[in-house]
Amino acid sequence: MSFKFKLPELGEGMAEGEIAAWDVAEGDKIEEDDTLVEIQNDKSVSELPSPVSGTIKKIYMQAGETAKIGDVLVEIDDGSADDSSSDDAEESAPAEEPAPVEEAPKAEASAAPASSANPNPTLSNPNKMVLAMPSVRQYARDNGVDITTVTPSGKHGQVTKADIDAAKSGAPVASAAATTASASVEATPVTPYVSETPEMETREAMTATRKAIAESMMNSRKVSPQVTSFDDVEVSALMANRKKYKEMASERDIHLTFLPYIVKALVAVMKEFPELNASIDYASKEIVYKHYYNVGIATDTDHGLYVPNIKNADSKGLFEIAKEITENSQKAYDNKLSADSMKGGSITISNVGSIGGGWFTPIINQPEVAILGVGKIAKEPYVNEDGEIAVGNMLKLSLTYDHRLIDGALAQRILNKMKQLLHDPEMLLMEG
Amino acid sequence: MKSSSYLKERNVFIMAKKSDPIVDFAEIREKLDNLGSNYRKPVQVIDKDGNIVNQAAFDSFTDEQLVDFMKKMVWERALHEQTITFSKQGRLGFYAPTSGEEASEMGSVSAFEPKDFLWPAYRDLPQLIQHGSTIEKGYLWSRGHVLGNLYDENYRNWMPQIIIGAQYVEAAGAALGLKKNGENNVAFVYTGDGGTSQGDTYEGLNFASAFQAPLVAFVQNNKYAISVPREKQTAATTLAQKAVAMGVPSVQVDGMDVLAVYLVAKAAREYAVNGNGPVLIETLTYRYGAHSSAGDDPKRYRTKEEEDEWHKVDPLIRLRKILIEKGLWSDEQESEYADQVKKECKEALKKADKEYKQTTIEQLQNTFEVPTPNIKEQIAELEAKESK
Amino acid sequence: MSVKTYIKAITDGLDQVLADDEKTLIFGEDVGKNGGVFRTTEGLQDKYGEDRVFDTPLAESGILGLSIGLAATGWRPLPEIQFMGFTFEAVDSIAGQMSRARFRFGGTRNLPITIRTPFGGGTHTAEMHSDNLENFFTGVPGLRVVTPSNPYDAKGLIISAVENNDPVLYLENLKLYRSMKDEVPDDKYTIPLDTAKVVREGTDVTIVAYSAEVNEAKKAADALAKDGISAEVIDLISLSPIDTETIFKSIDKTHHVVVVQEAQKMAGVGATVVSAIAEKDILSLDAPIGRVAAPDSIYPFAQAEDDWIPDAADIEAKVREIVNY
Repeated sequence: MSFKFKLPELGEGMAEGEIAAWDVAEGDKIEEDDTLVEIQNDKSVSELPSPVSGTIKKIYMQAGETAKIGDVLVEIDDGSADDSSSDDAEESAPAEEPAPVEEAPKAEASAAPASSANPNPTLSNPNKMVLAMPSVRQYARDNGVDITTVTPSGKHGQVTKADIDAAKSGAPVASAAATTASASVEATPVTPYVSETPEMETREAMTATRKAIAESMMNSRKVSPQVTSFDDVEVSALMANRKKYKEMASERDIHLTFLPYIVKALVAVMKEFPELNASIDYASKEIVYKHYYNVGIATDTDHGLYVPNIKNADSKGLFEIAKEITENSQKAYDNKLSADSMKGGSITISNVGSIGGGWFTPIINQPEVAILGVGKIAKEPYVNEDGEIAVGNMLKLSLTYDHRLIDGALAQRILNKMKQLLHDPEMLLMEG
Repeated sequence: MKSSSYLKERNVFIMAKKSDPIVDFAEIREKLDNLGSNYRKPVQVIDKDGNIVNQAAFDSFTDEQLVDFMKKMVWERALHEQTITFSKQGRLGFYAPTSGEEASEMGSVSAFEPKDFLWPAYRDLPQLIQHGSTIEKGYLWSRGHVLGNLYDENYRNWMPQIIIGAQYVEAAGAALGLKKNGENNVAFVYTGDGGTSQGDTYEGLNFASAFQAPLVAFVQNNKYAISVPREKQTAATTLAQKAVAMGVPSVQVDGMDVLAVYLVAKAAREYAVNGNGPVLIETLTYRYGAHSSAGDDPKRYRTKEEEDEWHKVDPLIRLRKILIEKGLWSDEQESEYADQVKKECKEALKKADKEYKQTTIEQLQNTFEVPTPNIKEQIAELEAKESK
Repeated sequence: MSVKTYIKAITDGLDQVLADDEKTLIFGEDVGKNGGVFRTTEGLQDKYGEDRVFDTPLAESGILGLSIGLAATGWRPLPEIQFMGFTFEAVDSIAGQMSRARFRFGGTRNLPITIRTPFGGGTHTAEMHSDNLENFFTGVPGLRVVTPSNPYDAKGLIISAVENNDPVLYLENLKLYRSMKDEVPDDKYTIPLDTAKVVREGTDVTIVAYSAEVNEAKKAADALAKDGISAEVIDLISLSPIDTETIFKSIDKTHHVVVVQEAQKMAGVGATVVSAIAEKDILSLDAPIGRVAAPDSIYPFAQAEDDWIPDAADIEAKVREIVNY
């Protein structure tokens, strides 16, 4: 039941005051507006009157002490219901609603280009000095290009839009890989190559594309621990099926390869094993399961490596997929792939079989969690369903997976399912 | 050499034979001082001891009027005391003490009609309250609340001026405006002794003179501009005589004699409203307190002896004496009335406490009649911030 | 419609506001019998009488203080300050008083004052007669600052300024007074007070300018067009507030911008334009923002003026630099 009197602001710029003398002692009775205390500061001496009547309950600061504005000087028992400072009344005064504003304008007058839904690429070296106009930086972000890796060609040493285009054409993997590379990933320590026989070597600057590929490959390995499982599958029935429909496809100007079958098989496998169609948000430690089936096809060209993906492969037929693969491949060669066609992938297929390769260890196209390496189909002895040795058409499969999410056993089960589907195209028809 | 021949030419004048100056500035200065002395005859009706020195003037007042002046001065004194108390309790913002100046302030403001246009400075809150404002609004103004500046529309007035001098040029404009409107009203304006040094004060008075506009200008000479004494503002003998240069009639009045101030102000208003142009009135008064609530300490620049001398000529003492002798007033009546005023002050502060909290949005809206695009954008930004 | 000089277009606008609103008053030094030192108010006192158009004593603070009192008693004042350099004498009246009145009175009172004053260089005047002081006054909240670059706008804008209830500083370019003629409608019309105008369309670069520099910018644009550089020229018209929307819209198309002013480069109109672009539209830019402005020296003596004032050649050079960045 008391009032706490605080040192009020006594003058322009005054922050504190010395207590010159108390005019009251504890236990004294005081009338409202009678002098309580004298305060001395470098400008003047002020006698402070009491805002209330009552009994001095407690004196907090003694003569000679210096009080700051707002310090409680004295507590006065005034019979009031609760503690209140001299300015509480003001503070607790009901605030009237501000008058309504007529037609508020658009808060955002900015004409910043709408950025795509995809996250911006993480810069491999965010503190590197890069000269570029903001519009070019935005263009790089929109195209998923890490601007710190782009070689500038501008007159003032600045990166231009053309440089971004060049980097993009050589750096689809970079763009994708960079998307999940967490910002905490440190820059790769650069080990210089020290020549022992320089006269027998030549040095050549890496092209922007080559640098981008190098960066993204290194990045991918840093982002996730990758394990590769190898297997093979007998695909005679698949070959027969392809042979049967190849002509029909050809009539429709469609080049039917094995790849569309593998795409369909992968869709079926992803449906059964959702871990395969996922990404890891390691910043939030969450697994992101994808409810779309965009299967990427790594496409090698003379000017770089691209991974356009077949969007919504689950809703497309074999012919349609085959057609799209051909089209994407052509676009890649013509440098006409859109940035979108390389975004939002589920999984990637890397096919080296067409040029005679077998098993290998492909590197994951970040932020995906697996990549399927497809080798050649070779005639090899194998044990058939009847337990006999036979000559089979053996397709080599190499599945690299993110070991943070996919365990070895799961990987094998995935491969087993894959094999089942590719071995028996009719089953692919049922599940693909 | 050009420079040496120039010097030679100059020497023609320097070496010229001695003669008496064509004008004697010392003599002119003497005339000027005499003129100043003539202005140093403050109009008085009652002296400091309550003796009536101008019976005819005194007789022009009714008993009711005399009591009314007493009450107005007690009102201003009590208002001052309670306001100073609030200020020391930290419950107000800027406030300029007025005690000592009751006769000058209440005597002058009482001579004007509600539709006369008041242009006050910051020490003229009591006149403003008498002329369309309220104590509560005075407190809101002190705290820095916009509602302190919204006055009774039956009066004409402007908010207290902070940049001393500006009120004079603006009041001259208002006087010209009233003249052009063909109204039977005047503008009246206040400044202090320090304010007479400001260029705008001359410009305002001179404009009013050039346009023969109905302006009654007051200089409340309370002897100090914060700490700088009147003597240091000018070598002129009086402040009233400054009006001579602008062709404006002027006079000194005993600013501690409320009856004299009122009668001079009333005469000035009548002169001005009849199309004769402006008038300047210097009231001789004294500020008992500090310059303002912002930490001024008069002990630094004047003596207690000086203050004591002024307290002896206090405006309340002389009128009180006359009224008590006439049986129109008593000490009890006075303290009762003062208590009542202080109570009103407390109620006014309580009401001020309850006023709404101002927002930046409101202030932005008051910047232009129709908010400009940048203002609209900033209002939207603030609203977005608030709604978060 | 008739061909009028910039100054006669202003006189025409003043004539119409005096005719339409009997509360309007024109006053200042020499504006009455003499019709103003430039003759902007020529004939108006004869037509409307000494009560409406009158001379004042020589005191700028007095003139603008008078305006406040007149506005407070129901009048619509159009004070003239003979040269913008003389506004220094009246800064309190503008920045300390009239621009704050509406705010002080919680939106309940307006001071519909239009201050007219000539400014701008190129005519070899005495000192303080040509200074571009808009950089000062565009920093005053509650005050509108506008300036026309041609006779058509000059007439419409003075009418808008007078009809608006806020204090407006209306700047007249004294070089353009008699050097610029154009078709001006005889009827009354208004120009929006806070809207910039695209005065020449283009696709490669945006040139933002005001007052006489708009004409320099147009000359530069003609020269650039010969080399296939298409410049869009924006006339700000309003220096406070600035119509950023029109500027952004243009930059979003051209991706290059050069901001031009006759005033010193430091702290002013161009700086405000540039900061708005940097804040809200930087992603549209393909090159740094170019600026063309007078150097940060005191306004030069008359004989050095031509060297100091930015012209079409300066604008052209800056545009080339920015477009080919």
